[in-house]
Amino acid sequence: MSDWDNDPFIERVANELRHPIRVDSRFDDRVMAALEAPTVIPLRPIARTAWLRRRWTISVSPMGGLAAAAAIGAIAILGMQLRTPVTEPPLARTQGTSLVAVANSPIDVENVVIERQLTLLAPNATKVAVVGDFNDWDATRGSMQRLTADGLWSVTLPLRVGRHEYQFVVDDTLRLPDPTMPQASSDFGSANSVITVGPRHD
Amino acid sequence: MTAKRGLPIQDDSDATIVARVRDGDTNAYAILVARYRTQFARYAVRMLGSREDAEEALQDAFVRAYRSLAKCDDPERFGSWLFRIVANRCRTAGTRRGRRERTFVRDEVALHDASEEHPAEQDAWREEIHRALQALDADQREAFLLKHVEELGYEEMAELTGVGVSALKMRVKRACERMRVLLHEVQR
Repeated sequence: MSDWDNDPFIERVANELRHPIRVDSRFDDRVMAALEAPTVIPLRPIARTAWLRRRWTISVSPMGGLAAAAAIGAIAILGMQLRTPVTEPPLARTQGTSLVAVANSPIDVENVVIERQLTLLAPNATKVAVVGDFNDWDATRGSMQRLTADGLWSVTLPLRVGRHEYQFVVDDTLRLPDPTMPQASSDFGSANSVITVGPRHD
Repeated sequence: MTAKRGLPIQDDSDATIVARVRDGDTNAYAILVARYRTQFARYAVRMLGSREDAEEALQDAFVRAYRSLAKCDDPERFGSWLFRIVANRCRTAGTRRGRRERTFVRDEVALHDASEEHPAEQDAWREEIHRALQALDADQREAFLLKHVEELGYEEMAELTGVGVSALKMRVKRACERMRVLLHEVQR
C-alpha cells in the first residue's frame, strides 16, 4: 500500500469528488429510446474504377475553347430534345456528384461548391436527418427524404471543397455514422463520418 | 430469483435482469440503467469535466452494453462489465474532445448538504478540485478516480483498464502528487 492511500489531504479531495451526480431527468428515456432505434443496414460502397479517379488536364486555345463551348451547347440542346421520360426513381443507391458553382477564373478551389448525395438505409425509421459541420450540426437543416418503401433515405447537399464530418440522426434520438464512408473521431465519443469533396489528391 | 414475468423488480439481481432482457424483455433494461446511471455519471463527469459529454458517453455505453449483452459472460457482475464499457467510452470521448474547452460542473452542488457552514468557500474549493482534476493527464485522472473516488482495488482497476498493477500504482502516485501541488498553490 502506498503512502497516498491513506493521505488525509487526498482523502479530503476524494471525498468531495464522491458526491453523486444527477443526470438529466430524461436520460433513462433517451437510453431506452435508443435501444429501440431501427437497425441500419450498410449500403454497399460505390465501386469506382481507376480511370474515374484519375485527374485529367485538357489544354485548349481561346478559339478552340469557344468552338468547344459551342459544340457542348449544341449537344446539350439536342440531348434535351431527344430525352425520354424516366420511370425509375431519380436517385440511385450510390453517391452522386455534380458541379453546381465555380468561382471566377482562375478557379478558386476554396469556393467551389459540389453537390453530394448522402444516403442511408433505415427501414424502420420515421425521420432521418444529416448533421455536420456544413449545417452547424443542426438536424432541422439536414432533413432527409424517404425515397423507397424499403427505407432508403437521401439528401443532396451543396458542399464546399474540402473535408467535412457528419452523422445521421435517426428519429431524433440515435446518431449514426455513415456506414459507407470513412470515420473519424467525434468530440462526443462516437464516430463521425468523413466526406472529402474534390479535388482529389490520390 | 424471480421467475415470473411482468414488471421488473427493483430488488432483482443483475443476473436476473440480464436474463430477462436476453429473453426479450427490453423494458427490464431500464432497471439496470436506473441502478447504475448515477454511479457511472459521477465517474464520467469527473473524467470528462462536462456534464453534456458525460451523458453522451454514458448513453453510448448503456446502448453498447445492451447490444453486446450476449457477450456478458458473468451477468452477476454486469456492473463491472458495464463499468469497463463506460471507462472505454470516456477514454475515447476524452481523447476526441481534448481540444475543446472544458466546463466545470456547478449544479451538482444542489445534491450537497444544504446545511454547510460556508457554502461559498465550499463551492470555490470544489471548483478548484475540479480544475486540478482536469489538469491531470487522462491516464492519471482515470487511475486517481478509480482508486480514490470509486474506491476500487488495484486488481479491479487492472481488470477494468487492462493496465498492469505497477503502472496503475505509479499513475495514482503521480496523480496524487500533482493534485497536492495544484491545490496547495490555490490555498496559498
